[in-house]
Amino acid sequence: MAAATQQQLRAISVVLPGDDVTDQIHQQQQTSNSKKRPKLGMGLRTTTATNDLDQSSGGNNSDDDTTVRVIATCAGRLVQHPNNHTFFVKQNIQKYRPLLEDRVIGIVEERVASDGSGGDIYRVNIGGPHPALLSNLSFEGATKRNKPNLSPGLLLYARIESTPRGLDNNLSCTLGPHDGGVPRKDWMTNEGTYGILTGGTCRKIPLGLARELLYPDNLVLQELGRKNIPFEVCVGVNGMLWVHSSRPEYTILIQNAILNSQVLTEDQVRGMVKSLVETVQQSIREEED
Amino acid sequence: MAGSNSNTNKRTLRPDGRPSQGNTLRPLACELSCTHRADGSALWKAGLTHVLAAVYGPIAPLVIAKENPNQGMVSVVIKMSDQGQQQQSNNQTLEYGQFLHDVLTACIDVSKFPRCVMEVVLQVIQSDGSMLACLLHAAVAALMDAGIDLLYMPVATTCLVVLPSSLDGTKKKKSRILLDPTSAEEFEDDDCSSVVVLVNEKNNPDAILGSHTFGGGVTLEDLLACVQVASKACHAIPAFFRLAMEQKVTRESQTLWSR
Repeated sequence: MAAATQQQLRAISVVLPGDDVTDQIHQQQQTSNSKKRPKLGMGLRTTTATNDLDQSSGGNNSDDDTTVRVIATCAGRLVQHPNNHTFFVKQNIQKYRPLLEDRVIGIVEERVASDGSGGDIYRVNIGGPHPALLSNLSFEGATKRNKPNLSPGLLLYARIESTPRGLDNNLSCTLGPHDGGVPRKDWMTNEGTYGILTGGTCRKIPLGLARELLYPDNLVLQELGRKNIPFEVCVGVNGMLWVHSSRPEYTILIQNAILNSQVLTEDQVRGMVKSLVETVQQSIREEED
Repeated sequence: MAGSNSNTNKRTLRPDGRPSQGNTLRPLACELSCTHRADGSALWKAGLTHVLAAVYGPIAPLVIAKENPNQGMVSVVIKMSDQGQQQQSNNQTLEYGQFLHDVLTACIDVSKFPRCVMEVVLQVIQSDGSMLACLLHAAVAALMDAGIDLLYMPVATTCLVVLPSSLDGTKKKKSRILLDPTSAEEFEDDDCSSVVVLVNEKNNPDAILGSHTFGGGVTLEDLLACVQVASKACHAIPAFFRLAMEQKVTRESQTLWSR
């Protein structure tokens, strides 16, 4: 289990707000023999050291940047990304905070205004502190004449295009700078990366679970994929999970399996998926008979 | 004091059975993520004082006009265990709330949450002295559970200062300092004792982030003595926070993050 974790993220320690993690980061850099300067992600900040902090660290830093200390601001697990030198604090929290280029699932709330060039602006709930804005012209291939009609309650998969300071964030359903290599499909074809999610069901999940589901080798999704049940799933990093399958029973099964997986170990997940699928398939068969 | 034989024995024990020498804290307990709807929550127990804290946020303020485009705001709501008590101690609740608001605003990295409010709701379940410290610890635990960025971790210490005149039969001139008093101790000599709450920072135990005094007030000498007690005692709470958080993270790393 430990080996599997190391492939993805190198866990270092549990930190509390205010913890000085400079020495841990230095140590980690030394063991991985990297010369590059570490990057700091979420949950870490830098301060220039005061005298008493210098004393507490014991003065064992040989580097030139001893005056800069790295302090944790969140409680969680300090991890290092294996491919680069980014350190951050990993947490499993409930409330989403929008960041640029996040891919999120939103619910259309209402039309706010017209955008002045023939489109309409809609307010979309993305689970963050404030709603986001989406123009129905910011779809792939949308024109004044030919644009999607968004009605309240509609589910969308979109990315956060801009986060203007002091204003609501803007969403977009067109391909962005992080979507390199994805074929550009017109919104009419319903085959694009972003767009309206039709059918299925959506629910809120913790943000840590959402991030975990987005790994390509996520166990619970792989196990479900082996069970010969066709399904579609869409995960927004804002903690929204959308599931669609051929039967409502299967949709509920998949939702339950994903929710259960967050409190189960690897072997338990395999067993849970197997038993869930067997019970549901048996009850479907009994119903049909 | 019932019998003269047990007199000496009783003097070394405090009403709840702690030794009067050595300034001990009451047993602590903490449960994180205990309510379902809140973004972060914690149940904090110090002896018989139990507080349930829930953090909602960052959320948009109810009145849009109150948004601050530069920094986040903190709102603190304190609810007492029963309605009668609530009416009676309304002033005190407001006083607690204002103090907690000031301390938390200083400790939360408000620059990261423009236009938002962090709402802290504190429900007192049982109250048995050292209320303010317990409220603060519950709030901090819930904020950590909600993943809100904190610049500093505040740690509160409650000291009961009993003036020398109230001690029957002793001729000592120094006043007595009791750490983490129960409500029985707080109300025992209401006239000649005061409660000092000092808030320290975890990494810098000699510095005081905030202080609050209930009762008649204390002399400078007593206050300095309290500061010394506080800087010694404030290591226990972060250690306990760490235990609680480690337990939560370990559970997650065995299941959610094991893959």
